[in-house]
Amino acid sequence: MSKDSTLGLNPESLARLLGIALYSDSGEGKDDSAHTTAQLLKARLAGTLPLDTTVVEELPAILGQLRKNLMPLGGRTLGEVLTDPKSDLGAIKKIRRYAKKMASRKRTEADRAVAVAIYYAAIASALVFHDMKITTHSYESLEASFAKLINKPWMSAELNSLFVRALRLCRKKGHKSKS
Amino acid sequence: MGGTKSRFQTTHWSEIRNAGTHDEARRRIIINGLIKKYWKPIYCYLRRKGYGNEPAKDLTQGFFHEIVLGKDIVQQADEAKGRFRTFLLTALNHYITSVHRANVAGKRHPKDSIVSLEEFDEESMSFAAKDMQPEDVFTYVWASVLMDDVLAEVKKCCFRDGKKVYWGVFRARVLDPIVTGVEPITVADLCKRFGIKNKVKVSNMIVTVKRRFQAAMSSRVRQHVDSDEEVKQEIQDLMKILSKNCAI
Repeated sequence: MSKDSTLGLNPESLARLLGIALYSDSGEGKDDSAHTTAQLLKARLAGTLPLDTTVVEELPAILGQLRKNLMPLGGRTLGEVLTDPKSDLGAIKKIRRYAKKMASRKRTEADRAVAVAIYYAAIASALVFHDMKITTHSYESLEASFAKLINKPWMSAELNSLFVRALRLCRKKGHKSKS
Repeated sequence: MGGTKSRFQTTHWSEIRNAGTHDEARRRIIINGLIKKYWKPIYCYLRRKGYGNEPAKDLTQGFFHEIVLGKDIVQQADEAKGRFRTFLLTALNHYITSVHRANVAGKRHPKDSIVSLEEFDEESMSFAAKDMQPEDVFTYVWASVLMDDVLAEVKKCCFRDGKKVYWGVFRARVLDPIVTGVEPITVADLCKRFGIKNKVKVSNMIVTVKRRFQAAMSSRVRQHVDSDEEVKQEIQDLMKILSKNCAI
């Protein structure tokens, strides 16, 4: 691209520039780590790249594979797949698997936090929309994990409400299994 | 900078309907504005369709001369709704078909050029859009022209309002990393570079410029869609089209 034009910029970067117009600035005034995590989570949920590259370097490797698997399902974003009651359970399981791999890689704290959030979001989605527990974690353990994730300063509203619903469900099912 | 809620927002639809006016001077201004915004996407679309440099230039000139400067597009716009870029692409495809049908491609272009295609940096376009479908190339170039306009406007406003540092901070933290791939500068380093005393102020500066960016983008995208509600959707759709073409 020339100095004064974005023409020639790769489409991915142009998409990210457009993204600046979409996302709220809730994290910007907060500390760097919360902001970074919030941006990364939003970007991953949108299926496009973040507003700035504080967090972008590793995305093609991780998100790329994920998108290859998910986009044929209708071109929906990761966020849409996770929060749509009609999403295929197989797709949800794939997301969980990839997120687990993402979390196990030694990267930044923000990367790990986002991977863990997506991992638990997939589990929550399967629980809430398919009544399926796609993990060996107990309901008690899941309840504790969802509770930790809810209201994180960087959490997106869509995942937050998913975790709230999943937590209630776990509490109910956990009590049932005890009685 | 306008927002998205302007009740009397001028859209390309209203502009083009106004282009049907008998006031020739006003009509010319409106049409010139449209040409300025759209000649690059149209030319690139035609190149991607397989037309050589000269035929693509001829068709671009011909389209603007016969369809846009002529009143065909005004009549078509009267009946159309939806996104302006889709409408324009449809009108262009109809034009190409009519040219082929008449089998006079290369002979219909006007003697007087309406737009200058000489300065176009074809190399950079072909590099960025080498694997795209023609329709996506049109969208890519259109989005690029839009982005250039928005960035120029935001920069100009920052400078005008004495917020040159704000622009510098936004550029270093948000723009440059995306555009050039450089490591994003930390907030602490931004403070040092620009002589700002605390980190919160830096964050607030970024938020301020982002809001200006958002307002400028919304205002411009609003010109291409039917309602305020469609602005966000249009930006999301653009991102999806562009993301689809990411090299992974």
